[in-house]
Amino acid sequence: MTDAIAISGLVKTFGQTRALDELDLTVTSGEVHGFVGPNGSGKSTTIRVLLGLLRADAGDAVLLGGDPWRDAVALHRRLAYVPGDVNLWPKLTGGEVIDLLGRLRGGLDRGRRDALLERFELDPTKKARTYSKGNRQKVALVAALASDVELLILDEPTSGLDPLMEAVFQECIHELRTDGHTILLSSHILAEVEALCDRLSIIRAGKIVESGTLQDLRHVTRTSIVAETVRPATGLAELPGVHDIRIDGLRARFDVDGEHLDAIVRRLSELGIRSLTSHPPTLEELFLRHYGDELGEATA
Amino acid sequence: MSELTATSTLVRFILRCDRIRIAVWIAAIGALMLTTVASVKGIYPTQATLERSAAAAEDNAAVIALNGPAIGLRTLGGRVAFESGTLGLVVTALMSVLMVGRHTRAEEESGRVELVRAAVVGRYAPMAAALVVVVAMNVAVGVVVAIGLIGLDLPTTGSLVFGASFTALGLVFAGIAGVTAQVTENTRVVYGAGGALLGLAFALRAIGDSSDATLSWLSPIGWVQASRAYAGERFGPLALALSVAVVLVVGARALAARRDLGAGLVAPRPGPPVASSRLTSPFGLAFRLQRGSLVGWSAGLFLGGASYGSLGDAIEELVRDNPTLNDVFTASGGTSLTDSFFGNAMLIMALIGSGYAIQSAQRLRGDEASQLVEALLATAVSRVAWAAGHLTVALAGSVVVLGATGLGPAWHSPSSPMMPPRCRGCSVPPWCTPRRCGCWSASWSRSSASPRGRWWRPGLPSGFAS
Repeated sequence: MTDAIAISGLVKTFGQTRALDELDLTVTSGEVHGFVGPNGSGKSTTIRVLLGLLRADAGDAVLLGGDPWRDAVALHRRLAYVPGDVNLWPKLTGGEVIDLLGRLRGGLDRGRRDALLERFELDPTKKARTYSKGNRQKVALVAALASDVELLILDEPTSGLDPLMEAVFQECIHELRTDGHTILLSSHILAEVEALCDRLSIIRAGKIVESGTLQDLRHVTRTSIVAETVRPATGLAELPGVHDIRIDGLRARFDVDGEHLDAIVRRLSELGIRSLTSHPPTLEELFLRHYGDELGEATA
Repeated sequence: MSELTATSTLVRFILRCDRIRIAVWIAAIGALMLTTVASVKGIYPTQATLERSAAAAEDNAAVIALNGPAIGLRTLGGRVAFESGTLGLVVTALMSVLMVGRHTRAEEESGRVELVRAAVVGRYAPMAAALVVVVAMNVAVGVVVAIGLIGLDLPTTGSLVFGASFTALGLVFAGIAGVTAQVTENTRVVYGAGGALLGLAFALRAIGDSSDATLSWLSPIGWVQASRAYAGERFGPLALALSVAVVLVVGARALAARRDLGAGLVAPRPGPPVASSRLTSPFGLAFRLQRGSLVGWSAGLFLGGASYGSLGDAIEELVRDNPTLNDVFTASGGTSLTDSFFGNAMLIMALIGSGYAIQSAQRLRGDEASQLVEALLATAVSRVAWAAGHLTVALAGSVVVLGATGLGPAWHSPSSPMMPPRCRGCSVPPWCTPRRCGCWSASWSRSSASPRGRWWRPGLPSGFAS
């Protein structure tokens, strides 16, 4: 499999601010890649470099085998983009904007366009001036999804959508993935990333701090366990890999590092297990772990 | 008066946000008037020169159409009012329209009023605050002008009335903008309608002053000029203007009660569900976006040109009655009076027309600032193609606009000597005079220089896209 996007050592500064700090990112062809990080961590800057809207200060970026800055126009025929903050020409109707953007990209599938309008329940005769944020976002989504392109770059595409439309969006992404399209989905709606993405990269302060499948990411992190035992769970806290333990009579709650899980479960069964629940960390917990120190500093 | 709760806070807020803009408007209008007085003093150092030029102006319909009624020209004050009054009045009216639009409909369209009105703020407080500020600005303009002119040794009563005429006209147009801001959802339409009504007011008084005086009484500019500063002041017309301003504000308040926040009285119509085949390229988009303004500018300048054309006939009559007058002009300038009138008129119109070229080229900057360009450049459109689309429209559009300017007088009096023999060798359409060919290039270079300046300094505010 080739890489649709291959970025290494990308640096972009705005004045004093170092927005991208030697960022590395690889998106394999045919995958849905989640691009996760809080506001201001550099997601949109990375995407703008990929679109040739910004020129990077250092580092390499290869997009669909080409140079995103030099080959911008040729590459843009093969990709579609949905910005997070959709601005439209106030005088044009939604239908006109969809057609215009599709044509400028090299044509769009009329049948697909109309089907998408139906699915997203969007009225194409309204002037863009009168659309709400969610509806403006639908216009950009329909324009992108209706064109037959290899790569979709979506920058927080659902931040204004209601849950029903969010479900429609997820269906569309599943279909595109089945058809072999590559998708870079930047988001901070973690449930969405969890539901849609094959792999994901977590960005923090302009750097990728974690990248892989959700399984990979979970593997190296902790599992949360709640256990009720016959005998009090003494000595558990001293075992390696156990964190944040709270013992309440015969009930113990704690987190355990992935590689020590086996030893802990063996120890628990020696104590006699009455009930045991364990759940892998949610993406939210993974995410908070990477940013936990920031939260700590903020509350301290 | 819970409907006006928090008005004073909003007034202070506007003053804080716009303190520089407000100061610049007042200072600019004041400076415009005072420098004119200084130059008028230099041009007419003696009573004899005043008398001579007064005699010429009183017979010159074209000059009267541009400047206003020829009254009191044998005094320095009258001359000042004659030479600078109309321009200053027009600028003051524009100030009112732009400031009221900016703080009523523009705020509402952006959604900021929603945020403000959700606080403990009365229903009409945002509009009231905007009007309070604009009224204060107009009073300040009047005071600055009056005090400045008194300071330059012009008669006190005349100076006060002259200053008051600025204030009165500004208030009328603040009222007009207040009403149009209720009617439409679109801020640009508020500005456009204000500008169009100002143009109409100017045209009515231009025709009225130079021919049928009753027409001048249909124009707010005519009312305030009828206050006869420095020439036997009359206060009635100023009172008329003030009453109309009050009626307009009351009307705006009544209209505001009939509409929802964010909506206009005129609901927007649905548009086409699919794009027409012309909307396929950056050029097609640029044309579509600028179509309305192109039509508006062309129509406005066509009417402007036509009103000059109608004056051409008056000048012809004048020349026919006074052959010696024509000889004087021919001897001094080498061309006939009619020629020089149309030449100058077209120069002014072309300068106004270059406003279109600048505004049109400014769209590049506007697109970039509002991030509209991002969606375009993410498609297979290069930066050059995007810029070329807008610039082609700016360039071709300015030809259309100036062509419409030239068609105006030609349409009105095609047989008039406004198409001088010189023009026969000119390759551009027959209604063009060689002087205007020069004007085209002036207008073009403005538009082509404009985006370049913006590109080098993207942080600059765009002056015409207020």
